Amino acid sequence: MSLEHHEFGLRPEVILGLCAALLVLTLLAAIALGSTAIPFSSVFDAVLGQLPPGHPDHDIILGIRLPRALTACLAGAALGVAGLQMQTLLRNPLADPFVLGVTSGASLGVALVVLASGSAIGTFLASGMGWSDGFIVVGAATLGGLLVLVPTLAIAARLKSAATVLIFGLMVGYAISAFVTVLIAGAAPYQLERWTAWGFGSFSAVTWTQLQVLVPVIALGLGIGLLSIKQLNALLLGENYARSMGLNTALMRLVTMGSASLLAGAVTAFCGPIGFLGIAIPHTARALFRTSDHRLLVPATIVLGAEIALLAQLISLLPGQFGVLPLNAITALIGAPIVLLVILRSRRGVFSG
Amino acid sequence: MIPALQTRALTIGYRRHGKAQALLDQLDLAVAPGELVSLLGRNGAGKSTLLRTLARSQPPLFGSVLIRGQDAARLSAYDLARAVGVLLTERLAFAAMPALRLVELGRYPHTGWSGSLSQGDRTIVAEAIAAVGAQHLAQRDMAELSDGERQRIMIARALAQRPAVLLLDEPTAYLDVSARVEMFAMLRHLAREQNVAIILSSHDLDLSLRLSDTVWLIDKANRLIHGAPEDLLSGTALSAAFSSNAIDFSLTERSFRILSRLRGEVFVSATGAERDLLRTVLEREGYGLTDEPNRASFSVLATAEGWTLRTTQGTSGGSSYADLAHTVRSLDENPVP
Repeated sequence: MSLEHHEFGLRPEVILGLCAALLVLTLLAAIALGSTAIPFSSVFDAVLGQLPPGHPDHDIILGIRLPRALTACLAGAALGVAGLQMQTLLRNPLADPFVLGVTSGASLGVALVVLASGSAIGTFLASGMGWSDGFIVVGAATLGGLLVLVPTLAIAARLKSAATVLIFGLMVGYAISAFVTVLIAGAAPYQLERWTAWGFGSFSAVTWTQLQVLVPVIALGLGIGLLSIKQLNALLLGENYARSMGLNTALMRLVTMGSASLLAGAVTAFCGPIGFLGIAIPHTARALFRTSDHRLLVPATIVLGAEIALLAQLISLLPGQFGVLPLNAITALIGAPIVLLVILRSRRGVFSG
Repeated sequence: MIPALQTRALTIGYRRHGKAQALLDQLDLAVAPGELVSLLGRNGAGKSTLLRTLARSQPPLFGSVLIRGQDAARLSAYDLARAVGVLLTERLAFAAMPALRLVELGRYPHTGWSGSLSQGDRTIVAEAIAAVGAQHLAQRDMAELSDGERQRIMIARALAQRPAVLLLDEPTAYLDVSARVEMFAMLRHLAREQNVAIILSSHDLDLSLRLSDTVWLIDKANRLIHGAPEDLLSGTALSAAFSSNAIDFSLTERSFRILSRLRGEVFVSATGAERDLLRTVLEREGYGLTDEPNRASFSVLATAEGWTLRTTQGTSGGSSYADLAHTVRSLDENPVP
């Protein structure tokens, strides 16, 4: 017996397949729907390369909607896996890159690069970023994330209280956000405005050039997640038991911190600090598959992450011609109830571990 | 025969600010396959430190630990995990996971990078679950199990590592009385059946002394005394390690006796279980037993209906032990008419 049967009698592989099918449908919807109405036939023609470049439908579909949808999928999968890794590593159901300040650390990295390079923040945020600049910003965001995650994990190793660790992460996150605000305060008003817009979170600003950076970086992070399924499962019993079963816990901690920071850093660099997805996605996967087995959870988190982020993206377009809703507001509206459910449903309290 | 576990001039303890603080030193111990060892001692005596050092989760201050004749310090993490299984005292909050899945985690050091189990692995997992008598729990969720059932599953997980040595830190802590006895009986059986060396720490003196092959006793002078339980019982080691002004370790009862200032002595005319029961009632009231009728403050005679108490002033009788206790308690104020 490999994987447990679901209570509805469905094999988990079937549920995962259904989720993947739903993801494909949502992806199609994300390409077909938008502020400009484009008939389905044109959508298919554009995707299949039947429309000439320069045709407005071609530019909207291939230049805006497709990269936006792909970015949403990548960001959702990345944030979900980063959240799952941190929840397992810290044995804390409420850990995620946003709550523990990794996202704030990544923002700091982005702000420092932008200020140090002397280029106007506005230029960067208006997607004037080239290919090599992209890697530099991702690197800085990852290091910024690690800057927060390393002391948080050190605290977690010393203090067994999960609540203390969460509060520590929250406070570090606030402190760093405040520092970033101070750094940015001197910028020109129009730059500030763009920075604030970036802070709302968005999948729309990512171009094909930037996707060439985002795709390999996120593929690397997800690959590490998929390759460390066995180790993540051993960590379900805590580091002491994992070590007694032969896991090199120090190395595992380093690799997991590195890949979680990389995933969260890359997303933050290109899409802004996006909250709640990191908590909500792994818990949705746990609830749907009723398991804590990472052989299922990691692939499920990737698929559901892409799906949930795409949905959030679609919802943010709802106002139609009147603009878009801030993505962070949508993710909070989706994520906050899930977090509350997690807290209320755990009989022995979230922090019993 | 190569011992499953052996220590050579092992000194354990902590290093603080570069200074070594030894808890136990110069330990030369050997445990054979199939041997059940109970590690006894007061809190803070170094039981957990010794187990952690044997499990290599803490470095020794000096000396070495050999597992199946090989220096544990030189084993790879996987090789060590294939040789030593542990049960820790930390209580885990279990996520949704069937017991079977948890036991499967024990195959960790034997599986490849993907962690997928072969048919052989599954057989070993099933055997480990059977060895702890938990077949009926395999499909249940860990969150639903009782403390005793979880301990069994955690031990099955350690067994699935196919170790030569099991190190169990207080496997009976948190368990209720009957679960403690069952756990000890299971471990006793397990050691012999699986030919695995088991070293456990415990505060259950009675069970440890009855069921272990060997006792490692850490006494008040931080020495580790080892031997068969009976060897330790016949000497003074156990009472020296555990007795104090208030309690005394009783050889015959393999348990503690509370010392209190005696109010007097009683001559008891009874045998066997009845005498035992009368003794505990009288001890509770502060009287010791004597064989000399002349030294006795009063005498108690077991009868067909119950008991008869005779003092110089007179006689009284009753049927229940509660009545006897009540009568003895009131002797001081109202001598028996």
